[in-house]
Amino acid sequence: MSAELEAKLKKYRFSHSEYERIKKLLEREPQGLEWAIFSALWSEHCSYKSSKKHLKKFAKTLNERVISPEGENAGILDLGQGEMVAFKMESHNHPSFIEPYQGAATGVGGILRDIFTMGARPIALANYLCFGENQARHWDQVVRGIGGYGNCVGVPTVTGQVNFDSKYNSNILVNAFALGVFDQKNSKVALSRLKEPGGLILYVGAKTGKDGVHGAAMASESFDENSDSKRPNIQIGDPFFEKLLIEACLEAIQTGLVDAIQDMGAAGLTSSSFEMSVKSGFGFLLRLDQIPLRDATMSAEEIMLSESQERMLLVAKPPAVKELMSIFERWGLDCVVVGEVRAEKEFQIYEGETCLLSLDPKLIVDDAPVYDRPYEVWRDWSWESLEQKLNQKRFLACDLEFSRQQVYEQFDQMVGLRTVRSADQDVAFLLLKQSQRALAIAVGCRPSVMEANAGLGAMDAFLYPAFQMSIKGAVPMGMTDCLNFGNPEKVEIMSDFVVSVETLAEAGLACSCPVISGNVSFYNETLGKNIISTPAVAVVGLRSHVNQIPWDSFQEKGNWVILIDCPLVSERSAALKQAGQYLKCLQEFSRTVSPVAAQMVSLLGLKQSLQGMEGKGLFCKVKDNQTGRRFYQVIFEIRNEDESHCQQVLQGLDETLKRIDPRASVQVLGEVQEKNP
Amino acid sequence: MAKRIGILRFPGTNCDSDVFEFVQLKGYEAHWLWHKDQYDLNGFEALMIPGGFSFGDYLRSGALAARSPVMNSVRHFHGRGGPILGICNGFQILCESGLLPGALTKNQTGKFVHRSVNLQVVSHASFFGPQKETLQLPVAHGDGRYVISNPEELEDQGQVWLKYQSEVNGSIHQIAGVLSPCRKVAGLMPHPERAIYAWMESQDGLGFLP
Repeated sequence: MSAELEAKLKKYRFSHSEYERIKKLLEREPQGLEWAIFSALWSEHCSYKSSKKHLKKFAKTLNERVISPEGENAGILDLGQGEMVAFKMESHNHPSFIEPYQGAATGVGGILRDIFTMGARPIALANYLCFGENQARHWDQVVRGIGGYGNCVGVPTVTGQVNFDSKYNSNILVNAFALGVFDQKNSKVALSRLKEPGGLILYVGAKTGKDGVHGAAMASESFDENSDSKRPNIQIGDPFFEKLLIEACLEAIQTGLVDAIQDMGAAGLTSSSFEMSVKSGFGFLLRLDQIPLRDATMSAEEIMLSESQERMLLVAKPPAVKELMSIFERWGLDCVVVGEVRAEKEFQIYEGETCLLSLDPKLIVDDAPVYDRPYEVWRDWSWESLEQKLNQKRFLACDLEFSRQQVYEQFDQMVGLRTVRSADQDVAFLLLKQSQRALAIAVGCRPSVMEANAGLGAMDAFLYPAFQMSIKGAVPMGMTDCLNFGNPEKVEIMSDFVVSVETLAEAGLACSCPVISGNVSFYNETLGKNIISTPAVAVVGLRSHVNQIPWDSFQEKGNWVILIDCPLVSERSAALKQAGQYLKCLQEFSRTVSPVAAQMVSLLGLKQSLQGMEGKGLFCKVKDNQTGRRFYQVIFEIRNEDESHCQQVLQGLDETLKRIDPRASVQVLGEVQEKNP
Repeated sequence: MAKRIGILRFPGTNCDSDVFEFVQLKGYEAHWLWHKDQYDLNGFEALMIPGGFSFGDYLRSGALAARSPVMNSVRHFHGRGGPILGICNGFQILCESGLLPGALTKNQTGKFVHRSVNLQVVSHASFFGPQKETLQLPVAHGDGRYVISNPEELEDQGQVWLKYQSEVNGSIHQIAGVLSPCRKVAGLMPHPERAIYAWMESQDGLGFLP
């Protein structure tokens, strides 16, 4: 192979076998723009080539509540009573490590576009963040970036999780979650798939610049000592533009004139247009000279690969274009015709009269490589050994002393008038305005549990937030995952990945909580060091009303503090079956008893968890030897005016729990006491 | 017929629907006023300018909005003695347009702050409440530090409307809201519309509309 070809393969990040595959598909050498397009669409980030095989396992979790047009931006969940929600969580780890403010900000922008592209109005943001030690600058900038974007677009940031572990020293994790609601009056679900050819392709939003060119390929690589040189690959976000785009797109979708819509995310114009074309089965003709540019010197390759933010691609029938354009114009946004959808299957790119590319897009998208990377089957499901490992774990001082307030105070948590419980509590609750029910959102995955046991850690990533909302009376209805892993070409990483996917899929099935959307981020590796495998999960639940949601801290002197022990057996399927039963039982208890406060015992144990519930000068003391197990214990503060009735209720609960596991128990720990002033 | 209140909408305003909901809850008829248009506001009871990031806070918070066509109508309305309330970015817009004294600059910490704060009502506006002496309302802003060269004079003239009871953003004299000399124009950084339902931390916002 010539040195020239080797250099080209390196530039476009192809392995030799991938290059051979392209030649076979095309029946010739790739030429011109084809190199860049294959490179972007075959990147791990766009093609999911290492994960696809396993992600299919999530399909079994889907139930009748899921309205999920296959391959759309985010899953949709029907909550009944005319209310539907769309939600998704996505990673922006690589850009955020290189340029924390912009990386985090554009992560928020990207996930929001996935939601309103579908026609849902975004009503909540959340985040899942992992930092190393001594990374004050990183987390300060990430938090500012998230706030700078989220606050401006007017979507409240309602919950999240921040973790510190030295394993993230050179690869931080920044995962953003967004949720949107369809209301009955104006609920139009917008799709990216077209039913017929003949439409015009509209480009809407910000102009295309050189930012983010090759971003998708960068996100599919490990870091080395030259990470700084990747700074030009970072996208720059403008939340003001995004706010205009949200309003204009939702207005446009509501007219019913938009036949298909897709945001330009990773690999920009390339992935959005190719995906729409392949899904619809119609060819696109794109005219690059019509694309609004920030920089007239941009090459065709740069235009196709730019990841400039706040851009959308719409398709509409020719007579509808005028009305749509007037909507975007009213919001001060560019809206231009950049091509057409044709019955022929060829995808063509023109610059003036010159045809730069013409090929069957299925060759690239449908025939992208799929890898079955080697992994080992997970066998260790022992809770006892997990507890032992955690007993030896030393938590970073910054992790222990970290106050959520310093992060979440920088986010607008209330805009929209839906936030009933916000980020100062474990679980966020939002008012669903039409039905007056409450939507619960909680984020999970505890890196120290993952590090000790990836199988149980993945189970915990779902179970912990599911428990957290169940004890506050919310039923988990669906989840989304953001699977952050190291290099999938390493067996131990791939093993963690596979067991995580399989466990989350089983958990979703066992607890009737479908996985409706998700994202995979591989190659979170720097100089050969991988992060802790971190399958972050966001669970969305439903509560019948917003009144009397239990708090995180003690509320009234004299109330009883009770401890509920919910042990699980050391076998995956059986443990998940038990967990599903516990969740139901706790939801029922929370609904009927209306506890004043409810908390899960954290990894630090019972004593510290009780201390964490102190506030308003109230506390509950227990004997020092009360340590117990962490998986899973619940603390409730309940009223006890009628003591004998209370005892009766607790005894009933104890009997129900013992039918799930004979080791389960309910005990009164003590009373809420007042501190001496 | 219900009395009408006009609500201004600029590109980037994001508390518009919240204020709309508040106005309707209090039994008024709410009307949108678009930034590019001019209106005859005869028959309107009051105007409200909601919070957000009008024009993306480019140049300075509120600076571009203050120079929009709709503000001509607002000035007319003011000339006829109509009451106007600016909340958060709306307060910034009123200061930028000269309808209220002083200016709002970056918080002293340099950071956005979302928090529930206690306020003291120092003097009374002519239309907009509240009737209570102390209030609890949420704040959410990055540019909320009130500055003015002569705060004593403002105090003496009874134009200081609300004060924070603890340090929030570095505002001079802990000023959270001010009034025009005629007391018909009022601006505040906290969000009354975020304290109107029983499930919220406070319902002190309700008193801001009679």
